[in-house]
Amino acid sequence: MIKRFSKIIIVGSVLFSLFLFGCAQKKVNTSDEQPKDNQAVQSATDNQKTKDAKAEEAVKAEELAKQKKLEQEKKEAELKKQEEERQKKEAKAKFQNEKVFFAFDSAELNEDAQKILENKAEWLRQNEDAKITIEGNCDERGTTAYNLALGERRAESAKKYLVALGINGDRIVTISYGEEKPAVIGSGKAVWAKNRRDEFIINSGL
Amino acid sequence: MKKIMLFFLIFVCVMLQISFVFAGEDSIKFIDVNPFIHKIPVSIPPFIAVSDRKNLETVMQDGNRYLKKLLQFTSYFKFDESNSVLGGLVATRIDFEKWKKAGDDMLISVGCYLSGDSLEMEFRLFDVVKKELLVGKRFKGKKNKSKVMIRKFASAVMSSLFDNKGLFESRLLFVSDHGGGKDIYLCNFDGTGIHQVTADKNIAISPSWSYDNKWIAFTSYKRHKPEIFIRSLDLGKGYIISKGNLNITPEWIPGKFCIAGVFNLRKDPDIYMVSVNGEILKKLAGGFGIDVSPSFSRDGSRMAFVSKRGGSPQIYIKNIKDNSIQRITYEGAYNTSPSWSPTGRWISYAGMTKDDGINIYLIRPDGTSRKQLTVNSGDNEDPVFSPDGSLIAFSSSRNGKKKIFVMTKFGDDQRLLIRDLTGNQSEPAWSH
Repeated sequence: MIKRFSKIIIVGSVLFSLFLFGCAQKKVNTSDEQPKDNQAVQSATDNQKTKDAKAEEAVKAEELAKQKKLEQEKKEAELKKQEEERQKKEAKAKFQNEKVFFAFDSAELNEDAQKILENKAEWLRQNEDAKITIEGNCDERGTTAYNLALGERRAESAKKYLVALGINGDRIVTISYGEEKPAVIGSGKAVWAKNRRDEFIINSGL
Repeated sequence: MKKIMLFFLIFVCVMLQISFVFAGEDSIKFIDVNPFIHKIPVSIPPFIAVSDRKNLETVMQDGNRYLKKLLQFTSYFKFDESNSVLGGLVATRIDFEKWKKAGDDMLISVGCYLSGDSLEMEFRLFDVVKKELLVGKRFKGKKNKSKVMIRKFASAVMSSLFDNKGLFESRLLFVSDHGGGKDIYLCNFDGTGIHQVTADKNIAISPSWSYDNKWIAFTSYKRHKPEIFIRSLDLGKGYIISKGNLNITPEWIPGKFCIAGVFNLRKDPDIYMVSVNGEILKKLAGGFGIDVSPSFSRDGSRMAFVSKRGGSPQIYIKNIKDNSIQRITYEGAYNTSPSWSPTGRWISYAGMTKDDGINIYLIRPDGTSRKQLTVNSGDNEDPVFSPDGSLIAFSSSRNGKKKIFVMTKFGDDQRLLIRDLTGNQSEPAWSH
């Protein structure tokens, strides 16, 4: 009795598996022809698999490349920005630190002075909101009073030149400190030369 | 014998010539040559107590020292140190021969009378040679006012002998960086009694006295640019003149309550007369080049100033009435800082040369008789006359830092005036 039953089950499952296998096979083989043998089916499937994988990879690679490119561009833009900011800072520092020097008892601008002022005019054009003060100074020789007047002339001389280069005079204030605010304390020709100067201070706008 | 006579004759002639050359210098009643070379020998024997000698001891000893110090300061006098007793207070009681033999030209007798707290001092100045009384003064006051009385007598002596007024009551304003930054200070004629006028620790410079000595004007950067501040010494109130960005070198104008100052109203710094409220009254000097540092003759008729109109900074004089202008310095490439003497007969200034830095010079208002007063002693600037015209105060870097010195107007006895103040001192201004 049991023997007959188990025989039926075994045959049944085999038949069922075959049936399933047959269906599965049918699914894979969407093309018209029925698979003749398993090997052919296998390789065709593999080919397809590789193709797809490759396609996926290609897409991935493309995506990756795109990302990389974007990152690169972002980095470059960042660097550019930093560079620009650095240059801006440098230009501003240059504007403030670069002084104009004068000969003894003179408010005349020599060639170097003129070049420096041209640079300053350029900066003022780039920074339209900036307002500045020009401070005129003298070396320690000579009387306080005379040096106050000379310092004023030195400041005005630079202002006049900037105005001639197109800068609006309303943006510039002048003040004289005479011999009262030396850049370098001491005596002697070298020290005196460093003190006969105009200083440029940025008031506002930046 | 003849040779000796001849020699003597020639000597006398030469001496006469010399005295003719020097006659016509500043009229100083008593002596007409440089009085500081030949100082007047004078004796001030110990004071005499007419009563209450015990309580007068200190007053008399201190007083004697103080009177000597005052007269010594003027550089006109020299003292012998003998302590001979006077013999009496009045001419009839004094043995002038004794003093003449001792080498004195003059003699001062002082008598003191003390009653409780009330002190009376009697001063007499005698001409020893002529045996005459020249100055007699009597003062009465509290015992602690002895120095005031002595000063008054000393002033009377100066006034009588040298036609000079107010040296011992005068004061000086000056600039010092003693406290950090530059501030204005005040002191007595002899450099004592220093006290601070401004305390901003910023930059306060170029002080100037009004002619009644009650107001001062100066330049200050307290409000971030040079402005002229005018202040009453008693009342503490004042004004600020602020025209444009340059307001410097204020000088009071004689006889008026207004200021001459330098302002940059057009192209160049020029000199204008302005009211204390800042109203422009008149342009005093201007035109091409810097014009700065006005200084007025005491009668207000003429103004000395510095101008670069000729290409280099030089001293010019303007006649206020007819507006004519004349240059007076032609030697040296840089002459500034003119200061008019109270007598109107001299102008002192600072001249810079390549070899010897800056030195003080004297020159007549017509540009003649130029004299150099300092030499080979660092930088000497900012000369200013005392109100009696006998002394000049100036700043000198001969000892390193800039200090205020004083000398006679002929350049003798150059010595430190303001001691005991560290830092640099400059720009003295002497009261009138």
